[in-house]
Amino acid sequence: MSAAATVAALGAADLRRCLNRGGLRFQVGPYVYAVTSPLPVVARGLELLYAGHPLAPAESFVDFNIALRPAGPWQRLARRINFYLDDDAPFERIAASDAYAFLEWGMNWCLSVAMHEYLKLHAAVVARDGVAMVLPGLPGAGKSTLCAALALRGWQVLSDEHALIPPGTCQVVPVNRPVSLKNASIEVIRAFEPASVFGPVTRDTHKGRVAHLKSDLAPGSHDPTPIRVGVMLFPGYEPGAALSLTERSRAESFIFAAHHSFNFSVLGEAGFEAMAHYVDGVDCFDLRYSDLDEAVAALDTLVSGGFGA
Amino acid sequence: MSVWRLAGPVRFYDRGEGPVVCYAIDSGDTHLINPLASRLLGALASAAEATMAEPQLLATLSAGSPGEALSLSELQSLLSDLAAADLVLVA
Repeated sequence: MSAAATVAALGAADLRRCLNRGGLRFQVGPYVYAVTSPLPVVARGLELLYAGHPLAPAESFVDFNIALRPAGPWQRLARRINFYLDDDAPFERIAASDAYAFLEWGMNWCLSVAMHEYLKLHAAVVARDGVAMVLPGLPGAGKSTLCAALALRGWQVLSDEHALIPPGTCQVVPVNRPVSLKNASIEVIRAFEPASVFGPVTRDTHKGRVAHLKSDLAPGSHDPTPIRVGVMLFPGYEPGAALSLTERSRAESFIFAAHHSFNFSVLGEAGFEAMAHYVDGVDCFDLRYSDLDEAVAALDTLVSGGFGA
Repeated sequence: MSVWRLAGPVRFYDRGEGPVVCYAIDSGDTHLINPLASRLLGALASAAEATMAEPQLLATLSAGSPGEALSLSELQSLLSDLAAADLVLVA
């Protein structure tokens, strides 16, 4: 099987066979994940949402060796599972019914706590016409919903969770995975684009209902080449608010990004320098919006250079 | 009146917009400060003995802002805020 083949090339039966024996190995940006799980919901989710992800060769180095499985026969009977990274279980057991959401959260966690060769911001990242836009945001600010809408209107999604910035650059590294949506946002995006493809809905999580949107719709979604960042945008959804797009000072943008970084502190002074270089190279804006179509149109104009013209 | 010094080495991200990012190298704490606080910390960083007494600080900061006189109580309030943020110490 060539390294250029995708998960879709396996077919359902071979995908399940890989998940049960030795792991399904696929590429996410520069990283290789290997996932092992006997659970049908995990197989369904991966088959649907990772169809376009490149398979990794059997002999490739695996960055994150993940398993979702019961710890033993009693846990299997109780329908409880653990998330394992390299045979360690860093989290409490969860219900098997929550397995797919747990997989996605666990994959996020792997990238959040390891791999400090990049300055990592907690942000969605999208791109259009060769220019990336980083969207840091507090939980509930609407960045994932906006990211999903942009994905469905032709933007490339580099990530809905991590902006990976090589130090000394204003670039981001693509690590495309499905966009996580919660509660009412699921119906908002289904209505925004009825043809949108969602994975299994996980109910009764600590965040409510969670579902994941297939987001690798744009050509080149799995090209690992870093993309130059032109804009850092701080979105804020406000019901009924008129659209407003205003410039934000670099210092305020710096501090927000630093406080919402996975590893600014870990990197020490090198993190400060990396953040300074990055913020110097991007234009920073606040976006207040209530209508997704209006927001998408405004951002199309912004990235094409029309802001302030 | 007290004599003050920096709690540790600091770096600034200042692009002339008003707010300034102050990074405390030893602790990694990162703060958003106003231009006056940035000038105060910069004065302490440049001080010949690495310390400055309050009258000296007052004179330095007032000289940098003609027409915007800073009172001693305002200076002491600012120093108190910066001390609470572990950026300055009484020497």
